[in-house]
Amino acid sequence: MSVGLRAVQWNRDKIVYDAILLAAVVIFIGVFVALHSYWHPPADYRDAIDIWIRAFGTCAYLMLTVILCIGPLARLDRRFLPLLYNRRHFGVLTFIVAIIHASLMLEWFRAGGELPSLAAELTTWEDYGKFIGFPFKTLGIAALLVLFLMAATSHDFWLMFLTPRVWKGLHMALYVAYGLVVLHVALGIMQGEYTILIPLMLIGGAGTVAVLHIVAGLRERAGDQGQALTGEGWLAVGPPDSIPDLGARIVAAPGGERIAVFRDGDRIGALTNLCAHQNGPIGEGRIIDGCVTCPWHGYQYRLADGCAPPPFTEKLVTYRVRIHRGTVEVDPCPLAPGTPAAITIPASAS
Amino acid sequence: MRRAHRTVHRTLWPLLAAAVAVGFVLALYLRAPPPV
Repeated sequence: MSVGLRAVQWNRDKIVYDAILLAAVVIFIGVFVALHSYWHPPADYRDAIDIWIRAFGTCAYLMLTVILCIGPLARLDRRFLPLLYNRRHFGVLTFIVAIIHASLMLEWFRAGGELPSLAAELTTWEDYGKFIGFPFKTLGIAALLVLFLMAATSHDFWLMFLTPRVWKGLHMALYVAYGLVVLHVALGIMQGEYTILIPLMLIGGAGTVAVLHIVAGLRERAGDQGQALTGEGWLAVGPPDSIPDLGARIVAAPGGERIAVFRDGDRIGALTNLCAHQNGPIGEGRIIDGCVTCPWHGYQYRLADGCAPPPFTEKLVTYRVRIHRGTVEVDPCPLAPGTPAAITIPASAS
Repeated sequence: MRRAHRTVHRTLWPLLAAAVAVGFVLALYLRAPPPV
């Protein structure tokens, strides 16, 4: 979509999204510190630092949990799509909160003159062979490094440089980071504190992520089963009127990628269901201003040939379509990206 | 999401989730009892 790369292409939606996010983080941290200080007043400077460490750590964990829930939620209900729009900024802010947590931890050791003991804790190699007693801070450092990698490659420059397929694969490491954080807490603070709140937080957060992914995955599985081809090797979509005007029906051959068949009045075209930007489901989008528009970030493509309108250069794979005995059919063999393939519905077929 | 990506996701994600779940349960079960 972008002609030239800029650090951030700000718009009103992103500013509002980031403002709400920042306000939520500030309020959470403030309330956490206030309540903790009220119930367990800090005895000294290190006690006070400890409260802030817990506040930022808890906040980072909850932010990671929400980030991982956005994907499946957006699949299950389109009303969650606005959360997906600026998820990258959410991720970068999570990294910032996490690194503040780590910095405060260093400050806690420094204030007690115990930085050498921190180094010793991380380099006592025998402890790495234990389970209870495993240097849990190492798990936190590993998670932080993954979050840094995510934040550092969050810009569209890396998306284009690495290609969407590689970039998306790389960003799946966020799940590994989440697992590391759960174990960091379980083998860290949960070993010394017996409040029910910590296990509840971990079970509640990870459990929510798991349930949402399972439900969304089961729903997506149905779409992957595909449908049988006709005797001539085409995919039957349905009568032209079964395709909503300015919308699409999504079909797939067994074992094949999904195909979005759009109708714009009396024109029908079939494009790959994968947006060139981040492989979003363009078939769930609509035709706006004459262009197929991805519901995730608004990338647009002409129905006629799958090309982004000038000056943009993205191209999508297209598919041949025909009207056969009153039914729209799609040839599941993909054409080269940008190949014109849309047809006009004959008056006799509509 | 690409089909291949969904397949990898469906294979790796449950393994990761199971590993983390086992780790959490063991951490809870094996931790030292609270001081009396």
